[in-house]
Amino acid sequence: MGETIFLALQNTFGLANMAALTFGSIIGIIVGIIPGIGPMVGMVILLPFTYYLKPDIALSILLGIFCGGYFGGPVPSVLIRTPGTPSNLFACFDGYPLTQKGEAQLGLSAAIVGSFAGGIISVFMLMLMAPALAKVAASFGSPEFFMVAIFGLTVSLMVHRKQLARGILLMALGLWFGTVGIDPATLVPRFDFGTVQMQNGLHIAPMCLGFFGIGQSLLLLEQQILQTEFVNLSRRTLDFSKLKIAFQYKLTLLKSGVIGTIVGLIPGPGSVTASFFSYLEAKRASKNPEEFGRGTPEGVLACEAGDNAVPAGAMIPLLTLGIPGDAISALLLGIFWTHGIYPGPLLLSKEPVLIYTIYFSLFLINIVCFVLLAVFLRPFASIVRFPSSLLAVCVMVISLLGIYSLNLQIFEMGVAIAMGIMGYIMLRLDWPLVPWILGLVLCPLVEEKMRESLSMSSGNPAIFITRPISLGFVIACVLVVVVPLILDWRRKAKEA
Amino acid sequence: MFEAQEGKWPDPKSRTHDLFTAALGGFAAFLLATLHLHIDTKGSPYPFYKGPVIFPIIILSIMLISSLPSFYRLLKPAPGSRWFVDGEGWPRRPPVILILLILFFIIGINLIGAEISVFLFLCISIFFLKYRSIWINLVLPLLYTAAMISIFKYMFDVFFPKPWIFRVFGG
Repeated sequence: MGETIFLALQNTFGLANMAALTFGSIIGIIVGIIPGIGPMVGMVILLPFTYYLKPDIALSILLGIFCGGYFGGPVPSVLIRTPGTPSNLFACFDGYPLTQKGEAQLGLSAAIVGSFAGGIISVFMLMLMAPALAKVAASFGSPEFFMVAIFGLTVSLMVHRKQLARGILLMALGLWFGTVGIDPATLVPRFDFGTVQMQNGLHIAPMCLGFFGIGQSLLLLEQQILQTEFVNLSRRTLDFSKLKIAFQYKLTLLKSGVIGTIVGLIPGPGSVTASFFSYLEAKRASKNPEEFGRGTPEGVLACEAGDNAVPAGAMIPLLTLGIPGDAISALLLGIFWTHGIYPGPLLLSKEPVLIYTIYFSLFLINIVCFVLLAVFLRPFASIVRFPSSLLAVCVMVISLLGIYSLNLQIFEMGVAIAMGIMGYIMLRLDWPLVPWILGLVLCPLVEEKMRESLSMSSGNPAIFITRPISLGFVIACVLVVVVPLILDWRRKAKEA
Repeated sequence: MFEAQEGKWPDPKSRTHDLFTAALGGFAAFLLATLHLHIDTKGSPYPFYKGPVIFPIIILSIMLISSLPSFYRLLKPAPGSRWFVDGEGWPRRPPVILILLILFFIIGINLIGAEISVFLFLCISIFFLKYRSIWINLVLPLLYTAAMISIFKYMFDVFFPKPWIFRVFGG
């Protein structure tokens, strides 16, 4: 154990890893600050570059972007009332009124302290909960893994239950994309449409780069996102006296961090839900709830602590079960697989050094993001002035060259452009994209475990309800579907 | 229990949404009907539950079933429903940029090479986006192209095909 921690510390503080996580954090903050881009696009753009790197270095860059995006997101929320990422919407409620009062420094301090505290609390919880969950998951067989994956997909669908039919359709579409190519169990080609390229399957990188990188860029071309020439900051760095005020709300920070981690570890809900619940709980428990919405630092730090606790929270099911908690961790799962690392209950015992390196790197990323934003606040804040349409064409170029560099195939560029068109249509129609990417990433696991389970029972599907843990997940799935529908129905009946 | 995510929900009276949903459902129906053409199971030693078709059948059926309400609404539109996306009109910029992407990245890299393709794509796109300054229209594409080519061609040693134009003129 001691040797593992020593080796992990050596890896974490190695020059390459430090450079990687700092670089990732800077890119993450930048893409978080630019409205409409966000950490997902940042990660998919750098995805092809990470294939050339060692897994721990690649993960440090991507985790840096993941967390950095959440750190950067509230900056435009506070300054120009435009959330950098959707989950930063709640920071607008109190952050922008603070800016209007001439207290932008206080709003930003609250956002940065909230993000920092949420990040650190969630990494502690990750370190505590991951080994415990891995022990439980070690007793899982194929039916249990299948049901966990189905549970994750069900939760993600029910979060988008206002568009349930479309959510199911997109999830199934994502699963179908995953079946294209040679079936690994029987070596039979499926849906190759007579082309050799399709027999290799549709790789996750061109799919995600097209869907999120090109699709989002096409959307940016026509959306006139609010930009400003005026950034209202009294000084170049963060005003450190305001940090003290933000750190006074210790209990709110702690509660929001815990809420964010728990929401993050449930596959599906994601950071918007975490941010929303943290904000609601802070308002409920506050001595001055009437201040919420009028400009209180407590509101800003609560939602940001909840928001930034999600990345580490989402790593818990990802590392221990191989089930991603949201779209971004679904992408991380693809990166693990690309590097020949298969997250699951055995990962913690098979790759302890890598796991501890991830833990320590997450700690460092939160510290690095905090310091970077505190020291270089004005340069980072000035990024909100950059024209989004120019950025969009630059993102497309790097996305397509990155895709080509993976396998040197023009065909994959074509796949990415096709996915970009589809992603653009879905984004424009405001359809739920999380079920699509979860379906795409989870397809190999779901299909393999389903067929293994049916093989165990000679084709009898009752195997999923005759094993206690699997039955527990079946019941959980039913509850996740039924309870919200009943609550929605009762709410509607009350309103009527 | 978790809340449904808030957002700008699609207009329930939009027939455009139903059209796209039905198109995906129709695609699933087509694949289901022609499954034997896409997955060859002749002489397969595996029972159905172990074979390669069980999972595609399940997911394509799910796709088809989930699109049925949209098929119904397309055939029997609700009063007041119309062809409507999100109130922001029909896209103008994305189709042009998409055509440029296809021209310069799918066709152009083989014909005129990566360097010229990237530079021309940037120049034309930026001009189309109505920027009119020598720095943005010329210097930025030049610098960005140089950076991209340096990273991919020289740093990562990515092989780009020799352009057709060079082969023709013996470059």
